[in-house]
Amino acid sequence: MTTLALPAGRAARIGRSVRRADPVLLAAATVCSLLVLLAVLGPLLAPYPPSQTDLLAASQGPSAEHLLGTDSLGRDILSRLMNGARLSFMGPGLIVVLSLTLGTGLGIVAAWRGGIVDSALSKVFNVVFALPGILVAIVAGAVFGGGFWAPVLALSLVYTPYVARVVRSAAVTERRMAYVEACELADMPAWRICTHHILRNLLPIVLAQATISFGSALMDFGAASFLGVGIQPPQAEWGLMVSEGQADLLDGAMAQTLSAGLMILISVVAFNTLGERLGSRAGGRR
Amino acid sequence: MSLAVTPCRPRRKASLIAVAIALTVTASACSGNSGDSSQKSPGEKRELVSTAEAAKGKVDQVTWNLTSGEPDTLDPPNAATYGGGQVVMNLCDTLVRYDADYNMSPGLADYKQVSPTKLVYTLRGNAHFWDGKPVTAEDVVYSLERAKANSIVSSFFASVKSIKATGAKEVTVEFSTPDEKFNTEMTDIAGVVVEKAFTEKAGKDFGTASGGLMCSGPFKLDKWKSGDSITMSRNDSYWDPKRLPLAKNVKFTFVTDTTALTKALDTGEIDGAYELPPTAIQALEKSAAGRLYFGPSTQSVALSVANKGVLTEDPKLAAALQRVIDREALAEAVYRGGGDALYTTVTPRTWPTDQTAAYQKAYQEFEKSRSYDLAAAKKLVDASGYKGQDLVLAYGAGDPTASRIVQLVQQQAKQAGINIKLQSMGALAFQQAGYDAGKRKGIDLMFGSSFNSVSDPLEPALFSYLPGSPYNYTGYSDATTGKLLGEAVATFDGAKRAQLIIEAQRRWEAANLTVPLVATHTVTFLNKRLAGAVTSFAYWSTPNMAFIGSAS
Repeated sequence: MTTLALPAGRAARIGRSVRRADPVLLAAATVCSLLVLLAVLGPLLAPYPPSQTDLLAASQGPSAEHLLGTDSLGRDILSRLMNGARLSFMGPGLIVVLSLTLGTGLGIVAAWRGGIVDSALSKVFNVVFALPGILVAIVAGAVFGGGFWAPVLALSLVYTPYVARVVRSAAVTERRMAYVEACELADMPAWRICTHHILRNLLPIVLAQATISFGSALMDFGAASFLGVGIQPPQAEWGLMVSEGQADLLDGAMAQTLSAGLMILISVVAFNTLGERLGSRAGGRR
Repeated sequence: MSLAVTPCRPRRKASLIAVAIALTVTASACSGNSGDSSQKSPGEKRELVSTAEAAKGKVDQVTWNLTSGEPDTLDPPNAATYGGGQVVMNLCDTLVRYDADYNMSPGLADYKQVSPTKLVYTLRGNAHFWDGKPVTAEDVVYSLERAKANSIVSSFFASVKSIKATGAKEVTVEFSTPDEKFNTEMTDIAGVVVEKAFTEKAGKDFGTASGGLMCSGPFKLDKWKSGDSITMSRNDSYWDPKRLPLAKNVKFTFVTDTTALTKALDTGEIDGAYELPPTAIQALEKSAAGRLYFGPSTQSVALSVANKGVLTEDPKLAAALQRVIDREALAEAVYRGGGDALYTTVTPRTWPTDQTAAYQKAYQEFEKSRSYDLAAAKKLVDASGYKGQDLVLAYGAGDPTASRIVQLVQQQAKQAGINIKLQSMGALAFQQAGYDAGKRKGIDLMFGSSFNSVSDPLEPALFSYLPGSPYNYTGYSDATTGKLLGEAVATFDGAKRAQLIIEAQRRWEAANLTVPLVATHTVTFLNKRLAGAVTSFAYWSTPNMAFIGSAS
């Protein structure tokens, strides 16, 4: 019999690493990974097309053909849930990307330039802070019509100051670090210091903020669809599914609302937890 | 170095909402079973009744909900909404009246068609306004002139040449051309009589929460508390003992949320409501608090061609759309028996009761030629010049019934190769699109509901199929249709008029400018302690609350 043995130093490092591992972080990361996988593969694995109606099979309970039952138009709820993951994640994903890009840029500019630029940007952020995200999404939906882009752009705008404020406060600290001074003494252009050094050191905090924002954006994006100003029927999206299933609650048919609501709940909790845990561990390398 | 992420508002909000969802989900999971438990077998037709069991005694208080919400006005000739008309008909009298089965009889006045162009109304001597002043010919002339001049129902007076007081209690209406339907329209808000002095004094406030109104109906308006309720009390000196209310006080509430309304009806907090949405039917059928009634109605839902375009230029495509929709399944699945498949613009209940056979025979032609036939629809599409472009179908956002119908239509059309793109519109924009061509730009089809206030097919026909009429969205202009409708308006013989309208109907329906979907019933809930309610859509043209009394 052959025995595989690890060198003593490496085994000890792995042991320490496992002991230090945060089980909550691992669980949240696993759930988030599974959800993202669902968003990517869901539409391919769904047993039925999400908009395929069958009035003869409307409002049915769970069965072998329809594991979560059907909605009032006879559509397979499981298939809509799996397909809905893509839009439910794509919207918040874009909101996060747009708000992170804009917020990180503005936060670093405010920290680097300081003075009147910092003061002016802070005042603008304060104004945007006063706007409830969902209200801005409703107004955007009313003006530009419901759909994917109106809530995405509106919520990106609203989320930007949150990112910018976090990034700015971290960037102000970085700005005073010795390595930044050294770069300046070496005549390195400001944009290069910001993008190659400061931004690089802020990445952990930016990523943590992105994860937290994703959970919030998922909730707001779903709420916009729920209120009729976001994704429109017959597309499948979780917020819209909660809304469409609402009318069936009086009849006791709650599978659609229940399952879509649960998916939102799980996603928000998982991404928020992941973001918080990542945030508490975030650090910089320089 | 380690940096803590600053807690931000979205995260806190998200957590709170997540907890709320969790609680909701848990509560839902404990509240009932999923699945269909309708008390009606699929495909089984509802029994339609025009009235509930007769009331046996008086009651002190009735609380009734206006399902469409608070009326925008109670000014009679402009109170054309569900709620507005319903309240006004309890407060005000019309010259002519309907009963629950749309039988016409003299109301505030006796009438006599002296000649094809002359109609004389003779007022009852004992009719008084709430303030005790008698209803005079001058008040009648004032009310009709006011409705004619500037109101939603002005078009009903199109052929009126003059309205004159020809005696203390006599009013003569003369017409430039004979108008058979004018007297019928005097059964609804167009024929309401208000007190001239009060109305002039109230000015623009007349019919509002602050201005009130002065009528002679079986109830007196007590208070309109904006955003909350309208209360009225019995007019003990009402001139007609047969319609003297059994309820001492009536309170109208404005609950529009279906879930809240269903719960309020189920617990007895609200005694009754008309026009309950399909989603409330199953829950209320099981309610121990009262009974659900299904009544005949002139209401319908349909798709209207919104503009000139591919559907007006390609008759085969328009015809294919008629055949690809399974109306029977749609009525069953979405309305849960609260409506029947509809194949013409004019709903069967709009046919005059004495001419039903003639209209029924004509209707069967459309029932046959427009019934669901996917193969026929595909053939029509193949033979048309349709190239697969999207047809934009607009509907009002926030209406689950509309959303379900348009999604089903979209899916069914797709089976025949017709691509429909759904476009939801905000409530105001959608309402505006109903009368503003600019707001309909880019839209091919509009989903909408409508009702007729009288049982006369001329009402919807004149609103939709004459050049310049308000719902003629495509500019439909057919000289023969116009001639036939003109002749029908001037024909007092019911049978002859029916033939003219049927012939006109063949022509306008051939243009396929409307895709009729479902003739919807009036769905009414009445608490078990009460009886006597009108349960047909005639409630909108009668003092509906006056008949409601104690069930025991």
